[in-house]
Amino acid sequence: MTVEDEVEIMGQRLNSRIKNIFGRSLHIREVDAGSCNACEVEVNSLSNPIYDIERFGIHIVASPRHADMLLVTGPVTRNMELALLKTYNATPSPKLVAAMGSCACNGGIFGDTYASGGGVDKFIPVDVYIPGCPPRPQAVIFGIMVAIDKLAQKIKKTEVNP
Amino acid sequence: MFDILKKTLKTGSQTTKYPQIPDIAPAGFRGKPELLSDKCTYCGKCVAVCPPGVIWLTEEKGEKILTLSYCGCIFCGRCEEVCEGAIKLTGEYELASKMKEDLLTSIRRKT
Amino acid sequence: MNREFTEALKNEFGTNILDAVTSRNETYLTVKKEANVKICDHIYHHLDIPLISIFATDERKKDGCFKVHYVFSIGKGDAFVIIKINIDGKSPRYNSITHKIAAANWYEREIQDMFGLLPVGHPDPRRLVHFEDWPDGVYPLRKDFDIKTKPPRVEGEYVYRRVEGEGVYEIPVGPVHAGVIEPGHFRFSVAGEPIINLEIRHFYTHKGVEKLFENISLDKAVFLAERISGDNSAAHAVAFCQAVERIAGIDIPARAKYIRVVLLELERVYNHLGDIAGIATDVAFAMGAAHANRLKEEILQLNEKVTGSRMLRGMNAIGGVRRDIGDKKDEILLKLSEIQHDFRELIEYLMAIPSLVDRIETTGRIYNDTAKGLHVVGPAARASGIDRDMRRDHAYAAYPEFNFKVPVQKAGDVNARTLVRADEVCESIGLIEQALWSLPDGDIKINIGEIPDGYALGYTEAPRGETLYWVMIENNRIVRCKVRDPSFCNWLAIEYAVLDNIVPDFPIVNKSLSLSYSGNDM
Repeated sequence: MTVEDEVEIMGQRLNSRIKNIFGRSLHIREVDAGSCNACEVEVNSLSNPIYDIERFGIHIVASPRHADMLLVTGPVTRNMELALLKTYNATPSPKLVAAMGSCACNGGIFGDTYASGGGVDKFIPVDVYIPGCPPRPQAVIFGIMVAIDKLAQKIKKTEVNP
Repeated sequence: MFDILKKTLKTGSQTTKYPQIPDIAPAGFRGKPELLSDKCTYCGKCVAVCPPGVIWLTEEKGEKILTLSYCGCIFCGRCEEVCEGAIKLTGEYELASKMKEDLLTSIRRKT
Repeated sequence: MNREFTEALKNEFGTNILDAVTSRNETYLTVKKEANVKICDHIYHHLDIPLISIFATDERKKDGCFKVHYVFSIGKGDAFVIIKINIDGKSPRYNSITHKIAAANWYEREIQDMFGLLPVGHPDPRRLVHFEDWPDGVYPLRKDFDIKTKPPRVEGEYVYRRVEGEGVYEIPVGPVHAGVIEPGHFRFSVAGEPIINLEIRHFYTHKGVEKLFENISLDKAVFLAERISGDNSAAHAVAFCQAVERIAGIDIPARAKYIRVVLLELERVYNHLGDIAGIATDVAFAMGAAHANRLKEEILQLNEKVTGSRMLRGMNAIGGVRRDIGDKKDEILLKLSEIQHDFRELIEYLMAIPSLVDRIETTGRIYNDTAKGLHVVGPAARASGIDRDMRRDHAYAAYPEFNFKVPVQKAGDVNARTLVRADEVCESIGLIEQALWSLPDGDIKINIGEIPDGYALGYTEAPRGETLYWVMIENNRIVRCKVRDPSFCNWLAIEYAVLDNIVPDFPIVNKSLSLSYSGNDM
């Protein structure tokens, strides 16, 4: 099966998946852990009329307490470390973490220095990596689909061994 | 107010059909870099120029291995620029993955 | 220009000026350490020349001294004057100029944190870049600090300014905000709805960029410059490349200069459209925001078609540009003419909606003298009656060959800033058209081998305002790269802009100034 076929099938399944797992609503809290703001531009693009992720029932929410998923950008700077941990702890379980952009995946060009942590997974567990600098909005939508897949597995696991 | 309403009606729906219909990135888009094993000379030029340093050249059991991680890749295309045809940036952008290991690609050759 | 200026200063200050070196349009005057306040004050207040940056270098290896540079920009005559003082490495103290020049405030505190040079007499000697958990006596930009060091976290406290009185409350906001924006902390003191004081606390996204520049090779540094302030990628990359090209003493091909203009202006258009969309969102006018966002998206998609990156990344290199855009000329021109028509219609409709205009008129006012005193830059300055634009005053790339207007408004409120942006969008589209119509033939890049030792300024007018680089190269490596993002100047202005406004208007004021956190914190 080619990648295109796979995507098409995933796309068709997306609506029904969000419906089944989240009751038509996936709430995402975006956390900037020191990105250059290009990723923020793309996250904002997701809610413009062209990509309009609200049509899938995906909402970008204002508080981690309302969120099912954290979308983290940036290499996690020394000064944002504590804020990121607090945000993570404030998000109710089961939760997902997606690392968006090359910096969040493993530090990108900023690497691991006195001020930059070198990737989100050094601080909190990451479920999905979305590479790109910055990823196109379509790539982020694809990443969210992959994340939803993972959550389905997570929920199953908690159901088996609560 | 009516003017802008009229404009909105005239503009119509602009929403993309993605992901139901795949969206092909335009020609020249800098996406996933691909390594072509038959053209690579394992010279290490790409390793030297990579700004985030996500290309490695290693040797293991008499094999030369060139590894590239999409994870920290900034898609600048410097590797493609210095290479003589063994690295190509493709239009593929759907790279998200659950495992960091899936984001590695490597080619190898016996020395 | 520079010679007359130097002579006049020499007559005025005599033996206080130790040395004068001029290269290109930059004059470096080394002065006695004790005379810095006197001389800077004279240039700033008496000669009315704005201070655009202060930075330090660690040259203890050479002569045992730190150096502090004060950069002044003479707009009429395209010249820069850099006052330089030497500070002995064994007693790292010098006189603060902040009590004379308010714009120096953050620069001196930044130098204090990054180099450990104490500005004696600074009115607000708290830390700026480092947080309370950063240990004393560790200064990242000193040459003996290794970039990989991770200093331990220590106990400490940051003291905010306190406003006290009957019914005064504090509202702390951030660093993780409700919207999709970057991290920063705001502390409002309010009495009811009106804001009586705002204190901002930034540097959450400090990534050690300036230190990183010193640890990577020159060709990689271009990509780092692109990632300092994500949506101003082209402006940062061009400013950096121009600084290095000036050190190398080369003139890049004309075609590359024209392409750079196209990139810089495309960037301005999408940024301004995004800001106008943001203002419509913040006054809860979703339909207008949707249209502006749609136009912005069209530019981003055009960027992707033309350069392979929605943020115009990977296009600039030292010596020119990496990709030719000549074959996409017609496509760009066609798209832009559509967008221009669409945008003009939109802005006309938007500005006729009373509920929107009511919210933005007289909101977030920055008065002309405040803007001048803090050296506010970019559209925010031009909306407060300051007629400054690097593209015209210190022309670079191919700008001297084009006609364009610099829109200026007087009111200094959100409305004025929106109008300035709307006019600039049209001017930018005009510039792109001029550049593409007269795109010269030839190479797009020349190869530069070894770069001689030296230093130079590089500058561009980014969508947010003047972006300044000062690069020093030795043995083909960067030994110091100072980056001054426009937001570093403009953040201070927001503390004044929000006074007497109500808390719900803060997002509009913030958006209208369009400030970058990452560019400020680096």
